[in-house]
Amino acid sequence: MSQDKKPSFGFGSKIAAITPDIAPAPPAPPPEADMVAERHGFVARESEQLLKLREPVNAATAQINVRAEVADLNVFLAWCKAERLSYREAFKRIAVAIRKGAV
Amino acid sequence: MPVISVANPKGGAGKSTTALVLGTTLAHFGGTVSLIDCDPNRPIAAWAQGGSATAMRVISDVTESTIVPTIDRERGGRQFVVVDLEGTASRMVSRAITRSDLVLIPMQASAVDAAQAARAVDLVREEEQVLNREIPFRIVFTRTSSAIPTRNEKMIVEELRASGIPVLTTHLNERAAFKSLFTYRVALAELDPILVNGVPAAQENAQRLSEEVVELVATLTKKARA
Repeated sequence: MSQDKKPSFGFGSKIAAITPDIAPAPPAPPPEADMVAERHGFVARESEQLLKLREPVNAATAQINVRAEVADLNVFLAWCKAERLSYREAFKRIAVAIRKGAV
Repeated sequence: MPVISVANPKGGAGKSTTALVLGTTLAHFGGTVSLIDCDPNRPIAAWAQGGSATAMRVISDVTESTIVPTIDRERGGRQFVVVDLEGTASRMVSRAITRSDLVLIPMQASAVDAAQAARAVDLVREEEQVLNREIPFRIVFTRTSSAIPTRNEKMIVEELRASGIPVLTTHLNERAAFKSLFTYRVALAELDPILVNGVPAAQENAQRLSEEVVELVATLTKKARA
């Protein structure tokens, strides 16, 4: 099995004879299977995690404070409410639009 | 088909090495392989970042709740699904075993490894009764000397055979090339023999082990269909 050596035909043909499973998946293991496992010390190690509504951000973040006209802020806040966006998501949309030259 | 789980609740028994050697060798000889990395340290997922040209799908984002559907999804499209299980007694391990066509239990020739391997064997046997089907398993000796078997090794092999526990004839020997798979993050065929000692011998060892597993799987499949 070296880089310059061809794989042996015999082994390759034995592998080729193995096919993916076309049968539907068997039914889910019964709850007794977990109970048996627990008796042998094979217990659940993962605690159920609370789902997070906010997607984590995989980029550096920072914060700015904005003093703006109330009318403008109201336009922004009404838009966030109508679109059901967090301020961060709304700001992201504005930034994307600026990058595209749409504003 | 087939789903081959590599399990031993003891860490350091050689599970990830066995799974990686088996998966990459089967892929090298043309098999379509998915390797599911269930180890929380994600050694195979880290290996997959190394840029190996091996056509093997590595899946690492699995949990106790998703392991069964993940195996079911992969078994329909791939010739081999190899599951590298974590080195602890967990529900992830037991659930993967319920979905396996073959469980390989790697162990070093030591009493500590043998005791933990026995836990896996006991679990397999009792799950067979719950599921009302046979779950074939084999012990695989790892990190053994390629030259002379130690007295300890001989004694443990004899003890296992006497207890009716099946053992693969081929061992995964102690070889620098197997460790180097994780260092260079490539397959055996991609290792540079100038940098790593004993690559051809490791390749031969890997092929012998894979051939034995494939033959066993073919026999088990025939038996299951009969």
